[in-house]
Amino acid sequence: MASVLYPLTVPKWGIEMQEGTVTGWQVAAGANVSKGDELIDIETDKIVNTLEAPVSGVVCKQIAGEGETLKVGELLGVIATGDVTDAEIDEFVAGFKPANASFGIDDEPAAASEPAAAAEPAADSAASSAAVRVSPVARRLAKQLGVDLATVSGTGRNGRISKEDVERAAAASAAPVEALVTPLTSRRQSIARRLVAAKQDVPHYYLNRTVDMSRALERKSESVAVNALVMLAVAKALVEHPLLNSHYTSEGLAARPTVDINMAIDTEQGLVAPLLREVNTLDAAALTAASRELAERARANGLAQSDLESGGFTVSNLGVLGITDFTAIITPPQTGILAVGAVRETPVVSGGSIAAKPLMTVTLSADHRVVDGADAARFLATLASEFDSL
Amino acid sequence: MSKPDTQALEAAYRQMKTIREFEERLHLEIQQGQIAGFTHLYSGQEAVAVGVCDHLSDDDLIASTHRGHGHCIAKGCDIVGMMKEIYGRADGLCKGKGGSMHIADFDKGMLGANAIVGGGPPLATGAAIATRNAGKGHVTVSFGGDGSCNQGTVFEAMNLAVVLKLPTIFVFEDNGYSEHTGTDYAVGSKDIAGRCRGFGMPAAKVNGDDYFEVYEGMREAVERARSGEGPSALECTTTRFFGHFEGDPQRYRAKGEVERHRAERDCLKIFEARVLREGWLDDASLRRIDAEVMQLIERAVHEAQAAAPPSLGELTTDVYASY
Amino acid sequence: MTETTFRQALNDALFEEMRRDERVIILGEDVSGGAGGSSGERDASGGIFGVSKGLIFEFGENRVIDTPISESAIIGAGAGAALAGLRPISEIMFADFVGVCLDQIYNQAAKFRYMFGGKANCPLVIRTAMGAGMNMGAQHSQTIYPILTGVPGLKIAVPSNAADAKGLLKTAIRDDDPVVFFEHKALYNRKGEVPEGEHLVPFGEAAMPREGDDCTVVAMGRMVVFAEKAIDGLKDSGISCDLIDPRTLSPLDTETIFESLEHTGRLVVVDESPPRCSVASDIAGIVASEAFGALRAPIKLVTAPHAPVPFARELERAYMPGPGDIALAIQEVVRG
Repeated sequence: MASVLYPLTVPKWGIEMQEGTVTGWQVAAGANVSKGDELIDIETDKIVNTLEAPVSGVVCKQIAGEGETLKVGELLGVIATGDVTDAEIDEFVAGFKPANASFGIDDEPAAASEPAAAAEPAADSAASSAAVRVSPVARRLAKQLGVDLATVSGTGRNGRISKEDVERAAAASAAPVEALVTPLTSRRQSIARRLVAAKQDVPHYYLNRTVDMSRALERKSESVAVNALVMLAVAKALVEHPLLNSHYTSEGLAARPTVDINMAIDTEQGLVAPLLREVNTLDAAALTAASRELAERARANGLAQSDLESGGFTVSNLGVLGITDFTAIITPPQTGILAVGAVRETPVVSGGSIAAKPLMTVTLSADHRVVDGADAARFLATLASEFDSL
Repeated sequence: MSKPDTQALEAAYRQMKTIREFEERLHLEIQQGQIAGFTHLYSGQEAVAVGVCDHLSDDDLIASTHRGHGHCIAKGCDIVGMMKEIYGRADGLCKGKGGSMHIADFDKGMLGANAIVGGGPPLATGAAIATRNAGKGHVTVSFGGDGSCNQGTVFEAMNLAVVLKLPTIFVFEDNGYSEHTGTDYAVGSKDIAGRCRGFGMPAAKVNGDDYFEVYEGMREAVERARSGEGPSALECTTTRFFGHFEGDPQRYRAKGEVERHRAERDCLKIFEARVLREGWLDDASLRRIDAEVMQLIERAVHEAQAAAPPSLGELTTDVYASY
Repeated sequence: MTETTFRQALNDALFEEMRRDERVIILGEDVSGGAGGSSGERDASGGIFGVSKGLIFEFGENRVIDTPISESAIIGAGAGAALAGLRPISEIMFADFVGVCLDQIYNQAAKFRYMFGGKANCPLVIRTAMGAGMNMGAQHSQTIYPILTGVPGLKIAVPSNAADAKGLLKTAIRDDDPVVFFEHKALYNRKGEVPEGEHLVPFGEAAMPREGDDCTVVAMGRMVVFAEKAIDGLKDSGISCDLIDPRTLSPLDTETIFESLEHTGRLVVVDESPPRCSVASDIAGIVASEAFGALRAPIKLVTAPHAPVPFARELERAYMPGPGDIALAIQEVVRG
């Protein structure tokens, strides 16, 4: 043997032994022992056994005392097979490193804590031999919905309560929900009344068209808003198609002499649609300024009664809220409303190649009593070309 | 008995001593946690492995057991390569993929240790079809414990070997215990050789603690196999100095049994007493061999400890020849 | 509740059932140990893992039977004794040894009831230790339950904790069908709370040891422990999971898996076996064909590689799915 000092380490008895407790030394320190002599009684969770001397020599150091629990491979004592000094023994003990593996079970790498202990013992697996048999998901759902499992009959495997059973029980027992009632504001009442009437009285139909906004975006600046350009394009199209700027009466179609457009605005109190007058006469910057001023007043609840008059047409733009296309309800007595979606970079095939273009979908709701589909379509065609010539 | 060849005697002693010290050292290494896994030591049974394998060349094939280190060494496997394998190193005999229970060395005619009791005899039987067809007089040997003689696979292999008159020898090492259960309990007839004869082959029972008895018993079986007369069996009674596996507390053994066996039935001591008494070898040459063996084992442990583990890329290699 | 080891919970189950029903017998290699040989201790091993310790002193050699190393006879005799009215527990020391006696399991015990037109009763329990992680090499480390889960007529139990070990084993012993009961070697020393008194766990009913919203993790045997660790470790990163422990692989509680998936929409299945024809691939297949609509992300499997179990410690560690692998898979399916 290379060294005259030999470590006595906790042996590995049994396949899974990981540690042992010293229950006693059978020899005194300094005893002469022969290979095979019984040295230390060690207890594991399965047995008590005796460690035998691995080599002949003198037990020069006893390290582990009675009752001490050590891992497999850790130092219990030292046997000297030749003459050594105390200093050499101390050095040996200080420098001793247990083999890197007590082996046995390769337990979870870096097992710092027992996860099982941290877990809520909950209504889990183990307890499920109790009276009610229920799938774990159903149990969770019942807790969420406040369903008493004792009242649920199971239709799952072997009569077990399934998720579906709990849902059914919840639906059956659901008391009519006491909804919290908030009184209607006058604006809400007005919106409700007018739109119900509009939907009932006006035979709506809807057309949509996608327009190229490249030009509009080029023109966009700090003083020119895209929405103002939309309003402007609509105004010009209305000039060309006066039918859309007239409205139905029992006597006949009433044409509007000026191009006045309501602009739908979202406020905290609800939807309002103040009027921009003679839009076709304004330039883009003026229109931008006017509509900004109007929107500010609308949100500040500072609109005058005159601002809320009905024009000949309405534009509603939900593009800023990410809506790509939608249909709007006509505000009587008007004939049309244009629902404007978001401008999106979209691949367009043109001349056999693909290019990204900013496209926008607009949807016209029109009153069939006033205007037929083809006429409305031509209005949209004009609108589209207006965007190209901005 | 006339004086055997001195060199052969020295070689036999060296092999037995190498097995012994290899295993005794492993016992220490395992107790200190240096070696992982499930290890079954051969100490006490050395005379069987060496007495059998001394009749075999590298072209004769053996199939071994879970307690296979002795068979490997007796068949000529490299000691350092074995130690590295048991340590799970990249340049172990099986790249660290097999471990103690799965050492093989085909260059030495060692078809592999086997962790399934009764797994080897059918393999050796099949290998004997190959050596028979090759027609060069090579034989195969399966080792098995007393436990294996109760497996159906072994019965089937013995019958097939007789039916086909194959050049194979079934060696049974009765070390007294099938794992933790006594042979006298588990082998109903208490007569393994007799059971083998029932299949229609000659079977001898020898004292497995005595190298010379094993060697002589094997001589006849090998001659018979080489001359195409068919299989034989050899029952060797022996003892193991350690547990079924390393860590086995051996509560099934009476107190003092192992110490008594070590004192009275140590095949190395029996061999030494015989060669000294007969004057075939002298003490000095035995001690010289002892020292050389200790040096070799020390070197093997040293190299194994220093060797690198397999790279993780090895995890999925060697599953197929091609895929 | 009492805290006890997985091993002790199994031992308690054996004692309780053998006291309750004298038709229950146990047979296998060293189930007591120390028969014959020199006069060492009787019951020297109580099974190589100590699970059947002490039984022989109370129930005697007619009911606690040490066998030779003869796996085919251990299973076949168990099956035959079951046909003749006993309720045997046959122990195969390591699950890998099923290779030696597969015929008696899958051609014999599994098929009796069906082949004999429902007349045969084969209440056999096969207990066996499985799993890698102890450097036992390619023939002592496998989790072979996928092979047997696919056999019609067999029931398969794979407990992951002490309470389920006890409750499932007692159910297995009382079950009239052949049950293969897999005990992971690395769990034997693991402690857990076990309910006092009679404790039975029904077959085909999963447990859910962790609850969450983002992903459903299905794991079995020791992988449940690793999955718990992975899931607990993800808490801080805001990911929570339903962890489903099926407890029996046949019958399989697909209902609970589907129900959970309706909630989470994402599935990770963890299996210590190699991936092909594994329980992981089986569950993935069932979900893909029967609950595809619930999935919001591709299913991820965490399994051993398509290779035998290697010996070297470093390779074996890489072989086994660990908490890190599971956490990674969960993050991948949740974050896309």
